[in-house]
Amino acid sequence: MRPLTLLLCALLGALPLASGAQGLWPHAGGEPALPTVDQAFELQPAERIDGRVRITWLVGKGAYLYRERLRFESADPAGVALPAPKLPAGERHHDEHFGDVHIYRAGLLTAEFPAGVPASRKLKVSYQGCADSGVCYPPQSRILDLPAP
Amino acid sequence: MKPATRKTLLIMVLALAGVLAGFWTSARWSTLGGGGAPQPAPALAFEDLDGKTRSLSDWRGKLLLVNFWATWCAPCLKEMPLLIKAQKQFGARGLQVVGPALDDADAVRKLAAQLGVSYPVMADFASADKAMSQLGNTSGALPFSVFIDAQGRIVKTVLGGLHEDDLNQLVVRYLPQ
Repeated sequence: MRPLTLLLCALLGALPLASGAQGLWPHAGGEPALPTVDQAFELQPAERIDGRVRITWLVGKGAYLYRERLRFESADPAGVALPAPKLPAGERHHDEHFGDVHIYRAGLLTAEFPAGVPASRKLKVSYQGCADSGVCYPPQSRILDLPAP
Repeated sequence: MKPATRKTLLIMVLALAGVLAGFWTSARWSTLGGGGAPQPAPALAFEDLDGKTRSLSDWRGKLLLVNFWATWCAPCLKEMPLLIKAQKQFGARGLQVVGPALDDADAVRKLAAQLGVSYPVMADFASADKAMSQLGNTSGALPFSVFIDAQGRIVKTVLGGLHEDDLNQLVVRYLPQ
């Protein structure tokens, strides 16, 4: 292959890298477009499978949730004690301020309560996460309706 | 290779090189530059750690760096030493850093003491969240920094952590004359 053709191929190959280096394309405001918190962490409707209550998030590409910041409370009736749900171990992550924590990266994250509990009709789910681009989303709380047993 | 083909290839190479150079410049100045004419900053006020309302207009005449942060935001905590350093280095020349937090007062007080924060910090989740939205940050993500010049105009907003070189360059550019 001639040198000029080789150079052209190299430049064509560098084009997507150059756009990727910027993260995302800047929008009209001059800042990179950032997914909203609900795009980064898509909380799905609660499911009850064989008596077990399952809460699922779809964590977006480049985003992560902190395991230590997941909270589950009974919203209706309020004040009902819930057992700890079963959660994946997550990826170990050391932060100079927060110490050793666990994070969940892109993909499905499922929290599952054992069969028979909770007896709640509504569950308050709290969570918080960040993006690899170097920003963090504020803590979120959502009320989920639980399907009847 | 025929001369015509060679010429076409050469033009394509030069055009692509230009596009790549444009990407590089754009990436750098999307962090550093400010697009369009500066807009007047909205009237914003936040409760400080003692419950006293502080208005940004209290610091009119200075270059204001309004850094929205929170104790749950690792990138915010990472950049705070840079802000402390900038305040120390440029404070006498007219820089004023202020840090409204989307957080509660106790958490902010504790962390500000730990980090040795030397500029005013506030803890006012609702007002800070609303202010960010007014300033163009509709995602609510942190850290978010807004540079307001001595005339009260927004000259730059940055979503994400500031790098020291960029921070210093912006401060020097917009310090009061």
